[in-house]
Amino acid sequence: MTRTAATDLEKLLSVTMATMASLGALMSAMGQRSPWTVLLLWTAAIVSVVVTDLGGWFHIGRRTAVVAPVVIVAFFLPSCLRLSGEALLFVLAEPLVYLQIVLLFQKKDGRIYRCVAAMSLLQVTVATLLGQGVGFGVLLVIYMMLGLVGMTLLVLYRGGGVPAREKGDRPHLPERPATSLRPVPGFAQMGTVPLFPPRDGMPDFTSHPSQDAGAGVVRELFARLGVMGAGTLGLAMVIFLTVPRLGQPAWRGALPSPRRLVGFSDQITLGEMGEILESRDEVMRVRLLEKKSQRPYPVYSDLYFRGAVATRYQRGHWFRDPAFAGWESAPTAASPRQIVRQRITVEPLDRDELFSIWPIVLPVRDENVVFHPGTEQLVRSQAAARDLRGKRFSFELETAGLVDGVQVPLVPCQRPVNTDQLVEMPELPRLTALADRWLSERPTAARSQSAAARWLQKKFNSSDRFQYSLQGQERDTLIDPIEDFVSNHPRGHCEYFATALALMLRSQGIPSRVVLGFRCDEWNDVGKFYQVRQLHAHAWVEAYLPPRELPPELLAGEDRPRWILGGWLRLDPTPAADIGTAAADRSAWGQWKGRLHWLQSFWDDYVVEMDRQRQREAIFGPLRRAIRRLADPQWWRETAGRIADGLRMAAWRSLGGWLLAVALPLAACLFLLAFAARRLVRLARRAWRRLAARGVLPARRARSRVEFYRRLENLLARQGLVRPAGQTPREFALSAGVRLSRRAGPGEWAVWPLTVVDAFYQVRFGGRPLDKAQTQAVEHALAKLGGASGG
Amino acid sequence: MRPRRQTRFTREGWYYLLVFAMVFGAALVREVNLLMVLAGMLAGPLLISRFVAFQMLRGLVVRRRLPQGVCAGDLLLANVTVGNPRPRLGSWAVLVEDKIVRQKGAAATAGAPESAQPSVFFPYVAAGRAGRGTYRGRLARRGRYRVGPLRISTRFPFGLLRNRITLGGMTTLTVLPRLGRLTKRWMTRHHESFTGTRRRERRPGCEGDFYGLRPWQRGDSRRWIHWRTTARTGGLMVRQFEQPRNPDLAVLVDLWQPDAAGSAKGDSPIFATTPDHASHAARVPAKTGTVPVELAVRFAATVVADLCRRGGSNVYLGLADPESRLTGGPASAPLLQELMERLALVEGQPGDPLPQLLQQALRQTEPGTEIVLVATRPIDVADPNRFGRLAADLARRSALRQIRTVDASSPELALHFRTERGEP
Repeated sequence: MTRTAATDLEKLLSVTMATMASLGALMSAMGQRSPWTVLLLWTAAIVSVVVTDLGGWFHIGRRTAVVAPVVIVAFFLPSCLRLSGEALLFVLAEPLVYLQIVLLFQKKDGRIYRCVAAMSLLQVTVATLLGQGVGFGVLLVIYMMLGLVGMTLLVLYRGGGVPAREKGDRPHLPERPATSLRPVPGFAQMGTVPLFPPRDGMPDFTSHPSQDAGAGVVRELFARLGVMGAGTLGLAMVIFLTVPRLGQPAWRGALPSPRRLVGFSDQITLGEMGEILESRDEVMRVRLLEKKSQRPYPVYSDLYFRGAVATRYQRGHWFRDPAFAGWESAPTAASPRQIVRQRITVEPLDRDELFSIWPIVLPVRDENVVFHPGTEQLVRSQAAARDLRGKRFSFELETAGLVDGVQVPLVPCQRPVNTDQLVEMPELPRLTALADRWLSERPTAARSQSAAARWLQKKFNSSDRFQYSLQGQERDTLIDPIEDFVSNHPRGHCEYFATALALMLRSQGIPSRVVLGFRCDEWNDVGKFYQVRQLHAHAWVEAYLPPRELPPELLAGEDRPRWILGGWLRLDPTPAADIGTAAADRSAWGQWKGRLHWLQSFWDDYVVEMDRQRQREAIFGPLRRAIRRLADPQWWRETAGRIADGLRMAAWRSLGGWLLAVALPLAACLFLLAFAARRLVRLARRAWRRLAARGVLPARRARSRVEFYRRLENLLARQGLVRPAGQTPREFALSAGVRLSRRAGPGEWAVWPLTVVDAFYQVRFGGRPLDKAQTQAVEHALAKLGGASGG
Repeated sequence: MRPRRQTRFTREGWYYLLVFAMVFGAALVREVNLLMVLAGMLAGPLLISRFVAFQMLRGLVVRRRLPQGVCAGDLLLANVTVGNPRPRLGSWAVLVEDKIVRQKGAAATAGAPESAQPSVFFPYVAAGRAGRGTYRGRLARRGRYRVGPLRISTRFPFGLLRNRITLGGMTTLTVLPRLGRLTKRWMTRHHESFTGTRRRERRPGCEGDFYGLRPWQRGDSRRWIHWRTTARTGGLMVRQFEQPRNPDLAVLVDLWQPDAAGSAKGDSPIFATTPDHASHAARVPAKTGTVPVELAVRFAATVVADLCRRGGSNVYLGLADPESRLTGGPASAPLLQELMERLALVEGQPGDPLPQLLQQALRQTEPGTEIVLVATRPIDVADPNRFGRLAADLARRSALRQIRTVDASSPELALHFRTERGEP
């Protein structure tokens, strides 16, 4: 290796290590949310590369290098001993930065580089405990690649020397003279010549690689490292996904646990200023299954998950009226055909309310869940609230609210309702006037209460004036917030819309109430479940319809007893396109932000918060299903049929379709087949050769015919005589004979190689086999040569 | 020899494994998923190292070329070639390790190693090409060394595993005694002692004594061609002649060393054969030990080499060992090689086979051949107790008196022999 190549390698190594240290500090700072340490280390890294590594103008001395880490550790040790948990992690990350700075300013050798890498890895390890986002994941991949490059460069830098003998690798030894007694193979000590005699009595050798070898830092190296990096990443994914979790809650770093439920409340307070921030934190996952077959139940509409009900409104506040007569239990009688099982997994939350599709079918069989008839709410049982607080837990309920893949808007009422309480409202002249005006616009055919309710809902949904907004709005504090909403500032979130509609209905004598919960439109196709997030929190309206207002077919059939007390009609006045995940993705940063959010959600769901349950749902479950499918002949038949149909459809539609559907798959298959065949042939040849070498199988004929020439070459090679590429076998035999004669004195040394080569020519080029005498002569010559070479 | 593969963790590999185990354990126990990702990333290099290390060494062809002969302390230069016949995949960080183990020769010295492990590092051997490198060093002690087997190893890509293949390539290397310089006084005396003795002059039509056969070289006379061998070999072979013009000399070496069979405690290092140590040893009288032995060998080797280089005489070498064999002939390069190899392998011995050697030397050499007896202790050839049988033979008594003795343990050796740096 030339000195220039060695210097280039050293430069590259120092830059790589400094970058690794900087990146590690950045990752740590992301968790700490403190930019100072990372700025400090970045500055130190740049300065050290320029001043210490490239320039060689400054490096800290041996004593400083020993004292400084001791001082740093002594300074931070009391804090570390005093603190625990995340606070300890925060404190721990800081001295690592200072220790790396000390290392970066030392004169580099293999040991220092290893220390820098180890410190940096330790810092990244600490950083992983601090709870990180998807950006951390990206940086982790980059760090991994840098680490691979750094380790490889270090191997080339150290020249593969044995560490135990690497005395020259010590950092603070005085400089050795140009003539070194203890060289280490590799460029670091390259070019030295040992003194003679060696001072410590050790015969010593130095090595000199060829001048054209370079440092090995070629484009091919980085290509190989790229492949290795991809392999490492794939392997990391496999390990991450398949290593079984032990069943504890996943570590969430510095994030609070249990998680605060910010989108949902059992009360509504209108008129508050400030922007509502949407959180993509997950609240729960809902898997809908057919009761009998336990197969996923297909749903074609958004789902409403009820949490709490508010019946009384007073000056901008909705709350639950304990005196309300009409809190009902869930229906118990439902057609088995209509019952759908909902398997709900709730994240660790700080509230006890639970959410589900309404109406649920009693009795609730899950011991962790209690239905509270007084409030019409599902809550955690006392045991669950005590034991599972801060933990993810699952429960199962049955619902009769889904029919033919759609959540029905009208559900039966089970207890008599005091409608007077549901029409109470303060004096709201503007709201009442607007309701009157809108209702006056309805068609004459829609005179029923349900038609009026639906008409008002439609007016809100399609109104250009009323706009959905999460921004804080200026409100007139002198009047009721809802009056301000309908008359002055017609912008607001779902609670304004729900309040306005509920009160409009009450103004028209239609009993109504506001329901708080979640409306979810986010279907996870991987896990086959609905993913309910905080941003899905929603408020809607339920209007009570007495039996006379119900559709006649409900009261005529078998289900008449269920509807005899009337029904609750769900009304959602909020413009549908403006809420939910789709709306969140469209707002503010637009689609990019939405994609980033999706990525972050994916990262949170499947990386940061992967626990045993989620692993079963997302990895092992689908894997088990896939394996089952592979063993199912029916599935193969169906798949083949689908592919064939697809090909038939796509093949003749266009040239592109034909290429995509037929030509490319065919070419890919042929390529794979050819590749596999080539590999098989190679493997077979190699196996044959091995077996032939062991004598299990006969060797190939062409080789066996000139076997004696190969023996001759081997015998002469033992004497140090190897045929150069530019020499014919006969020329080689002549020169070998002369050399053997010169070494061993007069004799027939010159004749024996020639005898063998003549026979070789006859067999190899003349195509004539040897007769018995010739074979004996060849064997005799080989025996003589073998005796001479000691073989 | 069937190549033997061996894959082991390096020291860094063990540390890395420990770190991986800790990270993985913490990730598993505390269910820290990011730590699990990190553990996965740490596991990648471990598994990839195993695979890639095999790939790097597969199919590589290694050759080592050693010099024909080398003197102790001279620079030994070995050329190592690593060929990479693979069509696409290059090899990085290939370390070719050789092993040089001393088998026979100068006596062992306490603390001095008996082996060396030179190595050549090839940062990169491109696909379809060969990398060439050398290792160089000095073997301080004469003797026969076993060189090999060659081992090829790599820690590529990450330095966590070392994959090593032990190849063949075993050979022997004879390290000849280190030569010194004969003083003017020795040369003059050597010349004077033979003034007036019979000299062989070149006679017309005669090239000298027949020595052997060798291939024809430009300038050789056609009369020297040995036709029978030429016909047999297919190449021109000529007779080689030696022309003795200088006086014959027999060098007898008696390496008496009373403690040779035991340990070598208190000896000077084996590197006493080197210039510095030789001069140092010459200043410090040593009754026993390896210093006089090595000095005696060096002196004898220098005398023999001088005569063989001059040519024109018969040179004999006798070693006072149990065989007490006297070998020699017309001075020539092959003879020098043979005699030097004998001197390279001779060892000190506690017995006294010198009388037999002297007897044999007087019997084998022609009258007038000067006999130089190099010993590690003072020798009195007139001692009737040791050489009584020789003294009783009247024909040899005069010859016995003409024997020159050189005591290597005496500072007077410096009068005849100097090391390279001069002052004895």
